Amino acid sequence: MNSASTIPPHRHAPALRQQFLSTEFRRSYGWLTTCMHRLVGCRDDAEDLASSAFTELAEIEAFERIRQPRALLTTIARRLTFEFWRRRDLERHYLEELARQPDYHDASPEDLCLAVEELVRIDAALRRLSVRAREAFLLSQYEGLGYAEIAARLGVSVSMVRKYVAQALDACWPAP
Amino acid sequence: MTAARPAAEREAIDWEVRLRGAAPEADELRAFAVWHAVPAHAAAWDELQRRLGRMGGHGTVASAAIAQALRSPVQERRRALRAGFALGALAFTGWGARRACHELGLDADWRSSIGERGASTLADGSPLRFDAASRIDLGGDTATPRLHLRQGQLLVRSRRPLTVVVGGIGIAIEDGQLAAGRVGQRIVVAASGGDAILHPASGIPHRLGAGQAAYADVGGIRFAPLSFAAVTAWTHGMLVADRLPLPDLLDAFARYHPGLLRAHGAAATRSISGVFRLADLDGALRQLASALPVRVERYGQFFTAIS
Repeated sequence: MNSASTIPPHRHAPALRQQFLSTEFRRSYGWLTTCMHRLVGCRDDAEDLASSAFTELAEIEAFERIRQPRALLTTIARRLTFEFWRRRDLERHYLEELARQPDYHDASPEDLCLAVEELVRIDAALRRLSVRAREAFLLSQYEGLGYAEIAARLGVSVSMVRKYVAQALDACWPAP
Repeated sequence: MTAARPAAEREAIDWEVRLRGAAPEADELRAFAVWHAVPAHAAAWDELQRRLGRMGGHGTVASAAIAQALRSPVQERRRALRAGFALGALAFTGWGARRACHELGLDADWRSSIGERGASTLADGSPLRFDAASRIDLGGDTATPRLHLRQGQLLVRSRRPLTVVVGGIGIAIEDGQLAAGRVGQRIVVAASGGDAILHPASGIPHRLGAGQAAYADVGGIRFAPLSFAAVTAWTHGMLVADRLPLPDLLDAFARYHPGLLRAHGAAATRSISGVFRLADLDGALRQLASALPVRVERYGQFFTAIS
């Protein structure tokens, strides 16, 4: 008689999950860190990314359906790496441009941090849109151009520009 | 649109898109007022405006930096990820990218935000001042500098030949003060201490004597009954209006106040004379309402309609 069969499967899950994660961690953490190191070129960043990937792996509910943990870890780690790079790029471009403003006064680190957080949010929202929709919104929101001028620049109709701006507003305003 | 979004929010987005466009029609504004009168709609509208406020917008110091950052390309990063190796420093600033930046005005040499006037000095020591929400690029060479006024107004004093380009018109001075700006659909130019020569894109040059002012628009260049002090009143935060069309007045105030300021219907055809303090929008709106047969309606902080 198999004792496991008498216990409902969900009561089993936490222990099994723990076992799965610790096995996988022992087996793949070093491997993933090395992959990440090759990718980002910095040991500390690589370790951060690898641990974040494991944290996300640990949060997956249906862990028993994971057939290839390393493939999944790689997918998660790639996404995290992209986000990590993207944040750095956004921050760098933002600060570079800000420093060129004649009337720019050094903002506090807290303010900059909040501004970069907001940038990351807007960027992620706008990345779901087409290149043209994104550009139409940037021209409207940040350059104050009218629809007719945006339409002329992008070579689309004014009604298309309105549609683009609506799409962007929808994407940037998280639904409750 | 997101399926889960409540109807009030979807409609708030629609209204934002409509009101951002060209001057709304009277019936459109009435429809907005009716819609906005419903508390749930007003709440959705305010929530959207707050969200937009957090995102920053045209006229704030950071707006160019935000747009620049959001335009930074992601393709290289994706390629690097796919290839699975780290790319070193990426050359984002090729000639193509620089040109795109230039066309989009991201590399303006001087720029000011809404509500903030600026001042600077040219290489030869000539003082330059510019109005709030202005954008100026420097061109030409050090011997004959050329200032491209893309947006807003400027005042420059020069002892050497200098050209200001605004809306396709080149304005040359040799020695003296030159004020140039865009007010609504028109360009206003005034000279002091020396003559200025206006070179339109087509047509004959036009001499502007010291102390004179001129308007330029699609109809051509013509004399403006304004003193040099009146044209440059913005340097003191004032606006001197002499039969100024209402939309042009609102345009001047929009450089000092974020949000939408719109005149529509008969109000859009009215003109006003008087002296206004640019920082005091409420005062100016009261002044308008008492001087003209118009109605002023404010919908929260961000939208003012005059009919």
